[in-house]
Amino acid sequence: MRRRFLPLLVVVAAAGFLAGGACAAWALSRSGPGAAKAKTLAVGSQPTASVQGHKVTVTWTATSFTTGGAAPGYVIRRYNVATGVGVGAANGCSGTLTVLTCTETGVVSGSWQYTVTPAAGTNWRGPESPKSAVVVV
Amino acid sequence: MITIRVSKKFFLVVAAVIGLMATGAIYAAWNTSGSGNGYAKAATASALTIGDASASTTADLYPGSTGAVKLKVTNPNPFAVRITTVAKQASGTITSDKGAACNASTGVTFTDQTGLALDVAGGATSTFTLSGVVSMTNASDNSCQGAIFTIPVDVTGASN
Repeated sequence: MRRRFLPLLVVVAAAGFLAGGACAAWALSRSGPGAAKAKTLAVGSQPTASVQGHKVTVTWTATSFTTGGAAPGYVIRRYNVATGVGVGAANGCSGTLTVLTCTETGVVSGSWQYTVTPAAGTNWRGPESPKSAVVVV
Repeated sequence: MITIRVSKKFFLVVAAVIGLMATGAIYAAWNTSGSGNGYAKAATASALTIGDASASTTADLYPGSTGAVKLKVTNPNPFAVRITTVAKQASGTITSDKGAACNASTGVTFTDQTGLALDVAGGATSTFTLSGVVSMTNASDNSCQGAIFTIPVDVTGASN
């Protein structure tokens, strides 16, 4: 074997290295922003309230997010008509409800109005509904 | 002039090995791409661009739910690219357009995606929807309602 074969050897080796280099260059990566969006709770619907002794049954219709889909829950408040002070409803209407009616028991005598606030999770709250008609216990 | 003396047998063995290596590499290139054109250009491939996809988002996240992420990718190269992995940047923080209170507790998490096949044609911009890849916990702050979240991600792909 003489040096006349050396150029051929070099050419073949170079082809291999070039091909390998091209493979390495194909991988591409990049950093940047992805985007996602949250819904918004719509205003609660005005409830109706009915009295039986010291029990008040509150009923309302479902509220949707502004872009569709039912609100997961509702929070009920009771307002003293004389003072305007509101408190969270209790005894059957407390906490976050996933139904569309509840009955609060043990309501003290007085004139009351109820509201419904759409809720999602621990913190999300929609706009509070208009107050119900006055009920007298 | 230097004269290198090698045996014929040795030369044939070396030539065969190098030839196989070169052939294998070239085959791999064709097999990956489906096209032999442009591979020589791959050595000078331009970086992808990840643009602002917020305008194309659809509001679907709320506490306790999962939602989609939009990803807008521009491929400046003359060849197609296939994105196979989208992962949240290790040091990145998900932020919102609603300010500090929401940013302090977005409740949003991103699940890294592998095995994807998101194709971007050469010289094209494509917007992809990755469904169900983000979730929101019940701890999301009230101020996050209606928020657009920016999720810093690393995108990995290859010429296709």
